[in-house]
Amino acid sequence: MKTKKSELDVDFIGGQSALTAAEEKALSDFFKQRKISSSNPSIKQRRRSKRRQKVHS
Amino acid sequence: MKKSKEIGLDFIIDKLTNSIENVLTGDSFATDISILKSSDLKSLSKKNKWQFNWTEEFEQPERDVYKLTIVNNSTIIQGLISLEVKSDHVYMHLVESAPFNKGKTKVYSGVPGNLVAFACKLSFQRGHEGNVSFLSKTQLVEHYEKTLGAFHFGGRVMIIETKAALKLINKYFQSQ
Repeated sequence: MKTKKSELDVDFIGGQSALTAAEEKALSDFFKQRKISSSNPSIKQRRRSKRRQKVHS
Repeated sequence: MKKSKEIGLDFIIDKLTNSIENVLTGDSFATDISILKSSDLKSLSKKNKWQFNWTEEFEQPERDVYKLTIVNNSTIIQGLISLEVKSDHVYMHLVESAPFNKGKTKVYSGVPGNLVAFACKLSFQRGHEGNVSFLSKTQLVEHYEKTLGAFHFGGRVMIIETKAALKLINKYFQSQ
């Protein structure tokens, strides 16, 4: 049986145009949020329990 | 006044030895990744069929350009990567395989994957948990999702997170 190739097969990635200010901000916000939730697991738990409450109500 | 590039690395990159594969023979060749020198720029012109302006990339003070070469054959560049270490992740500006490693007639395979795995490794070294972002063409989003484990953040932006980064490092830098 032939296996599907999952090797990265491109000649280049990216380009010489820079990130826009909006993209920069979105990335920065994303990593900031990620850092907060990884350093404070109770945030995740709180979110989960909130979700659970919604389902039950 | 001409701006001179200051390479301000404050860490030592241990020797990154891995391999790329000769497409015709299937033979593997161990590779090194090292910082690009100004003396390398001469051979990286559009005349020599490099698609991007690597001199411009090299001259950006916030970016570091690395070259992939075969061990004991450091004069022939197999591929290049331009990286910027941001405050929370590594941004991959540009990756380009050498002209002879492009398309259906490429000599070696594994060049871009090897370089992306290096970006992930650098991200871990800099305390950014392997997080790497880059811009993608719309039609390549799915390809990057499959081959790199990247996720589509939105618009043109893609992100390789910790789990996918570890997978890539294990795949391309098994010996370390």
